[in-house]
Amino acid sequence: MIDHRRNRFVCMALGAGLALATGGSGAVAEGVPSTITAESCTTCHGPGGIGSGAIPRLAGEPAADLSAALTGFRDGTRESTIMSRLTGPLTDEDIAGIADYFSSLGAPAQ
Amino acid sequence: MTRDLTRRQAIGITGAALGSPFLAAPLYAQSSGHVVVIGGGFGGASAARTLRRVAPGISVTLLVDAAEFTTCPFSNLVIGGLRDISDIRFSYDALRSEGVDVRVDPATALDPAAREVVLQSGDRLSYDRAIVSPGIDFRWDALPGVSADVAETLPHAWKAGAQTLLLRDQIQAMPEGGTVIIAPPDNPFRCPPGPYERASLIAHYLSQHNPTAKVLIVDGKDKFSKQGLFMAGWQALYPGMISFIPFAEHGGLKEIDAGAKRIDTYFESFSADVINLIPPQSAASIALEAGLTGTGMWCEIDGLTFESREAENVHVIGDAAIVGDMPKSGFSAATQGKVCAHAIATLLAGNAPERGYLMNTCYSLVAPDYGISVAGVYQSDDDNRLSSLPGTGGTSEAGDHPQLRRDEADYARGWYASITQELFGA
Ligand SMILES: Cc1cc2nc3c(=O)[nH]c(=O)nc-3n(C[C@H](O)[C@H](O)[C@H](O)COP(=O)(O)OP(=O)(O)OC[C@H]3O[C@@H](n4cnc5c(N)ncnc54)[C@H](O)[C@@H]3O)c2cc1C
Repeated sequence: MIDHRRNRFVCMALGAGLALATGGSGAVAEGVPSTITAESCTTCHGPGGIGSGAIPRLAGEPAADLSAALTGFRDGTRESTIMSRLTGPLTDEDIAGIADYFSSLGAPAQ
Repeated sequence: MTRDLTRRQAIGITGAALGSPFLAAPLYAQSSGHVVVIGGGFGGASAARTLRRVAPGISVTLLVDAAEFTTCPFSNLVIGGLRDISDIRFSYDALRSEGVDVRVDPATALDPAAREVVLQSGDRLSYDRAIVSPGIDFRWDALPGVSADVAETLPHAWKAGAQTLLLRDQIQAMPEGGTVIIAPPDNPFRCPPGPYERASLIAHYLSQHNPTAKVLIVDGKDKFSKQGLFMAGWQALYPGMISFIPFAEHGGLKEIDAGAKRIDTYFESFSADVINLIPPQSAASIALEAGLTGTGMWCEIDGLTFESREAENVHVIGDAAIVGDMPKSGFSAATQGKVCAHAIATLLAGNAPERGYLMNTCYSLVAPDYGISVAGVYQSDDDNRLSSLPGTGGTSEAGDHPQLRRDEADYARGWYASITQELFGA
C-alpha cells in the first residue's frame, strides 16, 4: 500500500521533472515536488523533520498518519494553530508526496 | 528495526529520487561548478548549506563580513531582557565542516559580465552562479538632517549586535516613568511585524521594572502587520502603556534632535528618554552598486530560479529582493535560500527547475507566553512571480484564546530553535 504510493509518487516526480526539462509550459501536471515543499516544512519542524521543542517530529512517522493529519488540516476537520493556514492548496498527490518524503527519512539511531 | 529496514528500502528504491536531505537527488547528481554566496545570514547560510547537501559536486564559497552571525529574530527578546546576546549568536563552524569555504572577507564588488566577485582583501573569485543575500542597508538621506552616526545616540537595532545591546542598555537606564519612542519606517522594510513585537517586549520589561514608563510608536504608516492582534494583546497585558500614532496623525518626520532626544513631526513634537529610530531601507549596498536594483531600491528576480532580472547567473534572495508577495522575513529568506539552491543545482546539471510551494510563518511574541502569527503559501505563477495562493495564510484567530496564545509562543521558540539549527547547527 505504502510502497505502491511511494512508487507512484516517484514516477510522478520524475515525470514532472522530465516534462519541465523537455521544455514544457512549466505547469506541473500532478502534484508539486515534495523535495521543494519539504524545505519549507523543516524550517519549523527541524532539519530532516526531527521536530523542535513543541513542534512535532515528522521524520519516520507512518506515512498514513502524516497523510491523515495533513488532509485533516486542509479540510478543516483537524484542529490546529497554524497548519490549516499552510495546507489549503495541497492536492491529495502533494499530501501523499510530503507524507512519504518525511516517513522515508526514518528515525535516528536511539 | 522495522523502521531501519523501511528506511534502507526507501533509500535503495526511491530515497535518492525523493531527495532525502541526506542524499543527493538524481536530477542534481551531475551538477558541478562553483557557486559564490554573498552574505552569511538567513538567505546565504541557508543556500550554502543546502547546496552542499543536495549537490556535493558543487563547490561553494560563502563570503561573510563577520566571524559570527547575530540573528535579528529573537533580538527583541534580548532588548526585553529575556535572552542573552550569546543566545542569538552563531558561528560558521558547521558550514565549514560540511565543506563550505567560508571566508571572512566581504565582497566589495560584483561584476556579472565577468562573472567575478572582488573581495575586501583584493582577491577575485570567478563563479558559475552567484547568490546574493546581503540583506538591507539604511537610507539615511531619507531622514531629515541626520547621518549614519545618529545611530550611536538613537539606535536602530535593525541589524543585530552592538545596536541591540545599546538599545537594551538605554531602556534599562531610563528614569522612572520615562518614555521610549519607536519610529518605524513606511513599507517596504525588513520584518513588518518587528517594531510591534519590539514595543510589546519593551513594555513587558517596563511593566516589571518601570511600570509608569510609556512606549510611543510614531509610525511612518497608518496600518501595520497583525495590528488587531497586537493591539488586543497590548490592551490585555499592558493597558495604557503603548500608544500608536499613525502617520496621518503626525504627518511625518520634520526634524530630529538627537542630543535633546526629540523628534518634530509636521503636526506635533515628541520628546523621549530613548528613541529607537528605524530608518527607511533599501537592498544592501553591494546589490545597489552591482546594478541589481535597476532604477529602484530592491532587486527584481525570477520567482522560479531567483535569478536577477538585471544580471544573468546572479541570484538574489532574502530582504534585498522583491520576492513577489513574500514578506521580508528570516523564514522567507531561509526558504528562498533552500529553494534557490535546488534551482541552481538543477540548472548546473542542465535541467529546468521545478515549481514548488514556498511557505512563510512569522511568529511574534507579545509576551513570553503570548504568541501570534501570520502565515502564507506562495507559488510562482505563469509570469514566474511568487504569488500568495488564495484561500491560504493569514493571521491567528482573533479573540480571547489564552491556550492558543500560549501554544503559539511555544511554537515561536520551537521555530527559532529549528531555523537556527538548520542554518548553523552541528
Ligand atoms: C528586530 C527584528 C526581528 C525580526 N524577527 C524576525 C522573526 O521573528 N522571524 C523572521 O522570520 N524574521 C524576522 N526578522 C527579519 C529577518 O532578520 C530578515 O528578514 C532576515 O535576516 C533576512 O535575511 P537576509 O539573508 O536577506 O539578510 P541577513 O540575514 O541580514 O544576512 C545578510 C548578511 O550579509 C552581510 N553582508 C552584507 N553585505 C555583504 C557583503 N558585501 N559581503 C559579505 N557579507 C555581506 C550582512 O552583514 C549580513 O550578515 C526580524 C528582523 C528584525 C530587525
